[in-house]
Amino acid sequence: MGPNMKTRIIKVYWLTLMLSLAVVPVLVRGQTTSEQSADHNRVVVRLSHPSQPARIRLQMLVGHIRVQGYNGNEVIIEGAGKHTHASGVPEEARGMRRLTQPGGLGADEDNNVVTIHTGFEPENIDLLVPASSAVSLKTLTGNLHVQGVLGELDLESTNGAITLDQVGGSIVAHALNGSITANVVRLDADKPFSFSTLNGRIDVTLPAGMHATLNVRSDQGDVYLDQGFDFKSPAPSSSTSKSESNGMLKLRMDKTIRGTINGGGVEINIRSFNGNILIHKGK
Amino acid sequence: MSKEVVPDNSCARAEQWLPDYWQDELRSGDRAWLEQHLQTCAECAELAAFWRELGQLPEAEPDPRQRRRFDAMLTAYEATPSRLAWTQAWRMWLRPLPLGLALVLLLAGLGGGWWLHGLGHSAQGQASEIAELREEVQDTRQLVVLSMLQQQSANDRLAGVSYSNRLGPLDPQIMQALLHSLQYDPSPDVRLAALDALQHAGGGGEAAPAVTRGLLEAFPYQNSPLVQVALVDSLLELRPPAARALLQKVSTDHAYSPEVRQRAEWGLTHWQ
Repeated sequence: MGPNMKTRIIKVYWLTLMLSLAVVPVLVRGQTTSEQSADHNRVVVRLSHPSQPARIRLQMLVGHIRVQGYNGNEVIIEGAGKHTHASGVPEEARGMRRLTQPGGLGADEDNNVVTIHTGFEPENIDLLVPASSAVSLKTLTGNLHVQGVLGELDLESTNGAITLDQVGGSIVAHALNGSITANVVRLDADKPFSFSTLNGRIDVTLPAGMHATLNVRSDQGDVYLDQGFDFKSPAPSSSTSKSESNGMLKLRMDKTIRGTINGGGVEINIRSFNGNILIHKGK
Repeated sequence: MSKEVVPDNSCARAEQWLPDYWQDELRSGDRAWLEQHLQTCAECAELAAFWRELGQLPEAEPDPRQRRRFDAMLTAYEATPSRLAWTQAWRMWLRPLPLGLALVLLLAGLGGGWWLHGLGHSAQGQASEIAELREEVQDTRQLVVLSMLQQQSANDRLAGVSYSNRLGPLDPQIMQALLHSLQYDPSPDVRLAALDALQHAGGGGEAAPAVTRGLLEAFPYQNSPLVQVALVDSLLELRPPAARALLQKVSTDHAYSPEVRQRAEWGLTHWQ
């Protein structure tokens, strides 16, 4: 190997190293672009690791949120109009069309965790997310609607209803003053489900062949279970213990309905205060 | 060309470079120097001429008779029988002996160790070992619960609470973690599940006073009416004396939502 060959090899390696170091920072950071058309506020978020599930977080005070799962690997956020009770066009603006004012919609992406920020004005949000994402939504006033997402769901609405369709994975849903309607097509075996409301009906459809352990309670409502389920419940447990203070026997009744479907499996907790609980059997 | 020390003496240098010169491996500058030196130095020129003559000698051919002699010797060797006299053969049989002895000693050592090991362990020793292992597994399970209760996602934390239900009697550390979740967890569902788990553990046994105290302390921090109702229920079941005053305050305080007040009132009427 002559001297020319050696220096050539060193030069090639050095150039490759410099080029790769220059390219790395661009790849590591997620990218967000904000396009604005005349009618919509729209943000497209690209994930740092497109092949891995995303984790999406959105907290709002006022506004409806609609989430649709799809077969892609970008998160698309659209502001879908102001959340106002007043509908229609005021007299002075009749015949004109209302332009959506950009409301400060934006998102941060860090290692597949997408945190969405909304502006000061109450606004409804539409999200288009990859079907395997984990979605965490919280709103004070507004309905939450999720369709076609098979990742973990953590949903909380203080004044508003939660409706879920074609969902799977693990679900934690809390609607304080609102109903919960869910159509679950798949259950994750290792993480529990939980649906809870104070004033609202809980209507859940669960897959037919599932193995689940139910803990269901409605303080002032009734609990209904689809006939098709193979439900086994041990006798309502009551325990007695001697009370320390006055030696009297204390009887304790467990008011929660506990039972197993198809032998037991995933833990499903359903709790309502004022509403009925209906558990349907899906396909 | 190897990197040897180049002698300063020019004739010595010329002598060293001659072989490379004949094989055309000298650099152009060195070759020019060498040719010039050969023209000026008579001794080196003579040496160079001598070498050239040597190079022109014909190559030696092997003797054909040598090949025939070799072939004859080979056939004679192959024809001889390979059987040895038995006086020498028995030594061949002894050759694998050291290896065999080594193997036997190894097996004997293993067997002896096993036997001694079996002697040292009584049934009682085994039982205490199993108990130790069980304790370790329980410790590991508790670590799992503690770490799951601090996960970012509510689903993971809920799984942690549900897993702690399977641990059996509550360790004080787990109980503290569950009380912490009851007070501070952002998700109402996790708080409800933590309360449920604490109630199961706190119903009897030595943990009960600590659990009750924890529930009483947690009450003012709750802002979700659903969890407040559940707490009122638990306090009504456990019936600590301090709860009575708290429930009376709750039933009249309009800061609490009507459902909570109603439940507190109902509980008080049944508390005799």
